[in-house]
Amino acid sequence: MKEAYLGIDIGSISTKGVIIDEDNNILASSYIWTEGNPLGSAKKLLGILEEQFDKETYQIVATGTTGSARNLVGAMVGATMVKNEITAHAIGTTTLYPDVRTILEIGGQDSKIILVENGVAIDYAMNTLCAAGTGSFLSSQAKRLGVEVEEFGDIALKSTHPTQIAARCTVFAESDLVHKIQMGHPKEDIIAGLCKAVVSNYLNNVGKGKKILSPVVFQGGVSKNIGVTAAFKEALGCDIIVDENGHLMGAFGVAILAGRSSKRKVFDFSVEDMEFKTRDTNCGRCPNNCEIICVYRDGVLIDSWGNRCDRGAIKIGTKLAN
Amino acid sequence: MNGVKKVSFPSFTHYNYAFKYFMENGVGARYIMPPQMTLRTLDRGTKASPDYVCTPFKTTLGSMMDCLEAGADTIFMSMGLCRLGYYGELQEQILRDMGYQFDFVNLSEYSTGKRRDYIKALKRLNPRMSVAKMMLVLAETVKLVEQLDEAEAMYYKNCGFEKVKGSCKTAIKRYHTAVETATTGRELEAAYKKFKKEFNDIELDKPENPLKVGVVGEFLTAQDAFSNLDVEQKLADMGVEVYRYLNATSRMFHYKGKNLQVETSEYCKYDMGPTSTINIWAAKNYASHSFDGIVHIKSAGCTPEIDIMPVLHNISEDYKIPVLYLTYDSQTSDTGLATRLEAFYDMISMRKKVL
Amino acid sequence: MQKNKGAEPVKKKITIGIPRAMLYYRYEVLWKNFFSILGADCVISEPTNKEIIKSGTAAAIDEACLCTKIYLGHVKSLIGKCDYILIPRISNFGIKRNMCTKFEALYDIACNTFRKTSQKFLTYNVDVIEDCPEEKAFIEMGIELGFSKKEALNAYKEAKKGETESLKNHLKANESLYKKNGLKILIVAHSYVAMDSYIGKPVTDFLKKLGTVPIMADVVDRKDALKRSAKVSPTLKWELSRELVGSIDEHIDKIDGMVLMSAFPCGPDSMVDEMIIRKFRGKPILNITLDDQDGTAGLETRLESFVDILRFKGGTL
Repeated sequence: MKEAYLGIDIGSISTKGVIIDEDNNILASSYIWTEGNPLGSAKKLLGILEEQFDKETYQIVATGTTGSARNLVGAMVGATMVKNEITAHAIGTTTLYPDVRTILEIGGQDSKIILVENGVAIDYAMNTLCAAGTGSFLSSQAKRLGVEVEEFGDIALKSTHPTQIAARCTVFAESDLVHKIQMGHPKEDIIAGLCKAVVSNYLNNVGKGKKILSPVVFQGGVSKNIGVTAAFKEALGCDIIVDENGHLMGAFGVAILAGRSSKRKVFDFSVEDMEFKTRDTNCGRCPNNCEIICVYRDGVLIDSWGNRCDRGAIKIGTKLAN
Repeated sequence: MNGVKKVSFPSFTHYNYAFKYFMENGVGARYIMPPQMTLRTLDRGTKASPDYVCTPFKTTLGSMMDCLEAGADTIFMSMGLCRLGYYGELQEQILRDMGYQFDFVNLSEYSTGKRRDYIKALKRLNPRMSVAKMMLVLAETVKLVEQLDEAEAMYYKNCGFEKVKGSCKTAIKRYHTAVETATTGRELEAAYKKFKKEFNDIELDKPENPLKVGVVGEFLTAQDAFSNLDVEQKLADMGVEVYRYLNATSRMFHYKGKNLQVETSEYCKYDMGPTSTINIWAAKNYASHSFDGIVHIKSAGCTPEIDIMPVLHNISEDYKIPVLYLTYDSQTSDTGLATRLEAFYDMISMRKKVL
Repeated sequence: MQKNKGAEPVKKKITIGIPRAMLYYRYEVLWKNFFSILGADCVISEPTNKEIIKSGTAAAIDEACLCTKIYLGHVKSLIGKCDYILIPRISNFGIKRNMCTKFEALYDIACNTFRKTSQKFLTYNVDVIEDCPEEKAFIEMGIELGFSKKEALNAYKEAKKGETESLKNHLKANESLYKKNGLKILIVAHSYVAMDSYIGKPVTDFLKKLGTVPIMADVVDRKDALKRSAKVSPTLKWELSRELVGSIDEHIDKIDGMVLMSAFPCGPDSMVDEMIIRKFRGKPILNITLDDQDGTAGLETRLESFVDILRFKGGTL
């Protein structure tokens, strides 16, 4: 039996998974929508991965989770490695592109920049306050314009005179956009303007004070938008690499990390059949009223988090009442 | 009752204990300990505040409401060199417009630099205050602040490496309790001595060359654990020595602004704002002592701290030290912060292994 | 780094670059007079335009206020076009007479932001609390440019005379506006916001187009305004805000409404505007926050409806 490692990246919008071998070759991969149900989508994802996976030759000996629901799904699958998505992405990308110097990333809620030297992240920044210029911002503007966000890139490339749009913050950008529509700017110019605004907002916020050196890799959900990629290319004056597996980079990275760590635990696909329940309880022991999330497997508490102090601590192993 | 007031100062980290000691023993007023701030404090403060004001305005306003509900009849408010200096008057106006009834002693009204004016302010809390006694206790209070700051510095340097989890916290909590009930300088000294002994006896499991992170930033948000979502504890818990030069001792009682300015003259000609020089100096000091990273903490819209960011960029570039910039507003979430800190930790620990 | 950027004595005709932003609108006459008396040339940057805002935004910290971005855009546009760019540090004129901390920092912000250029910067430091009054600061600046103490002092005194004269005329013209017929709207804004051709001026222009009389609150008898502001808000300490609050107090009965105009996110305005709203109840107030959007359509709608409300109150709609 050869060793294999499983990585799962559960974001607010999509759930991604890969299984890799010891040489980082992808043995199975999948990408589905989270649809507000991280446990359900993780189960579904595991089902798809199981179908692609050769159980006769390989055995999954380490499992990693990343993304905003990393703790929840980590508890469910019994992960040996739970890592934040920034590190996971950096590891995934530097493994595939050992020479990379700059990683630009724009996801659903966050945008970040990672500077790399000799394969190691040496500096990074993440958007500080608002979500202007992230994926969710683009989606909501697409809705306003009555187009699918997936079409954004193609439409943007048709424009020759992108409209200037203030994108410093979501509120200002939206009010500005409404007026531009009202004033009769053509849709493709507005969309191209939005793509440019996303880029200039990004460079003025997370990119401020950072030396952006080539090779540059652009990833995250928004990297699928060729309009934004083109705007980056123009603004930075260099080639922008967008990997076709860019959306899997987080899952890939956390699978590598799980493999590198010494922790081993054979993963069993039977978790698909177990019953998982999450429960929110409000602590109520002080006015913080922390929302504590408890995860139960077949009725037994396996993990909980969300409390700001010890008062809200809940004992593992407690049975689910009712 | 003889005009003796039940006074509170809005909650501000461990200085609550120093205020209590000074007000009760020096001024002879009753001190109502500000209730521990909670999300409700922030929420109520935010709702009553103008939108774009810096976050400490909102938390201190919320804390004033907490104090008044806890039984205080007088609020005592600080002066300050930035917007802080105008907090008091606007907060009083807002609270009065909301219908709160209370006395308000705003040091900004007395900030002439003359001692007799500050005494006038304090006499409003207790008309029969003895100035001699007050001065004596003031000296003890300054000492107390130094000790509280010192204890905190020891705590964040070591708590990430304790063998028995929670032992550092227990020691410092016990110290704070002792300070809270002390009524004489001797008791304060004894409490501090006891703390130091107890703390130094805590068994640690620290590598020879641990990760070191220096914290710089805005006076209130960088120091107050509630306001910064316990960022120093979170960092320490990952196995990091956390240093912060900025505190009341270094900025108020032993401020060496002119020296610090000389030592940072390659970056700045002038003092750029209330905490600018001290933060630039500290950042350069961390960088030149091979720290692994710097964390810059501020509330949204804090002008002086925004203004030193170009300098921090240059220090980061010159010394090749990563700086994590954190901006707090009333919406900042624990999870968002944790993700940034974890990634920062991962990065500096991997860098350390390679370099 | 700044040390090397300091001035060396030169006798050839020097050119001073002055950014048309921030305190330019307050000290235009003083600066131009001072340098021209000393025989130096002044280059003033172009009025703010889209390009200046864009390059300033790229240079400035994202969270900095719009005026900082505009300022750095102006500085950048002057780089290489003059011997020195003038960026004073103005901290205070005494107790409770402070400037926003921005004006303490601006010189070092610019030096740190543009440190990779070979541009030299010229500065002077007004910090009355630390015993640096304006006169002393100008003498030191003159000496740094290679002039004698006497030459510098004379130039300062002469320039100051011109400034006083100009302020007087300006004030007289402005006061006459309060006697004009029509809706009088007090523009409560820092001069670098209200007078900026890209962000504030379109607002006053539009108000004129609507047939109203916009009047700048900051053009006021400054001494008198300071006294008044101390009564309205005793701990208010920003000189420019105090002049505005004092001016409102003086003129409140002569105006129909106020427009509070602020550049996002202005520190002092975030508090002072709130205080103004709470202290001067009864007068209609429109609160506008300006960002770098170039569309004024949204703004125009708000201004129009505000003017409608004022007219409606006056029964002239």
